[in-house]
Amino acid sequence: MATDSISGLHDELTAALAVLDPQIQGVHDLNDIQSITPALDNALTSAEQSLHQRRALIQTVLDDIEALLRDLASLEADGYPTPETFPLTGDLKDELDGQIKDVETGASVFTSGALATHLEVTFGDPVPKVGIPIT
Amino acid sequence: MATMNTSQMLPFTLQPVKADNTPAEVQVGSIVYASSDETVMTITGLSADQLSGNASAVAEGVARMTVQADADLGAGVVTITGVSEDVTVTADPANLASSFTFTFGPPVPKA
Repeated sequence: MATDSISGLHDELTAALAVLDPQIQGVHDLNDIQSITPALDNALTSAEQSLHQRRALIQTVLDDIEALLRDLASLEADGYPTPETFPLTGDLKDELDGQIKDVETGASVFTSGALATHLEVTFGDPVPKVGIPIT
Repeated sequence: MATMNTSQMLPFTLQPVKADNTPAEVQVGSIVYASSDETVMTITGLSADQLSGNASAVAEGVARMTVQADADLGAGVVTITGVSEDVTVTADPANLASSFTFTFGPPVPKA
């Protein structure tokens, strides 16, 4: 099923989050050290921002996947992919059939305009060609 | 069989016809004519509605005209065809020999 691959992607992204979270925490902790130089402080801050951005993007996709899986579950609960049919009681089915018959009868008064089926060429008497002097 | 000579052309008319042999119409501008042998006869002088023109002689021989058109007056295409009778093109009598001319040279001794 398509949901298998979607669930697989969800698992993969969840695992990625599990890797990211301690990385973010570790970089954050390093950035709290008071004795680091301003240059290292900047590098740590930039890395932490990048890791947060990656985590946010992954979380967005995870949220979308979970919403998709909920919607798919609702669709399947509605009976998909079985086509819908609508039973009618005897009287209503008879009425519907009668209406269809009337429509077909009405439509039958219209016919396609007859098209030409072939082309007939008729020659006249020969005449001198234009520009040819008559001798 | 129609006949003309090499100095002549045959006016023709084209009539699209239904299966019951009553006149019909074809899509304007869809008519295409062709000669079975353009060394014998060509199609010239088509009218604006393409329903008339001339079969013009080129050289002696036999040729026929073929024509096709779109019978569907709507967006669709229903191609129909027609073929003329054979047209025989003969030599122009005016260009044929009609007499002999003898020309004598100066007298010479008998051998």
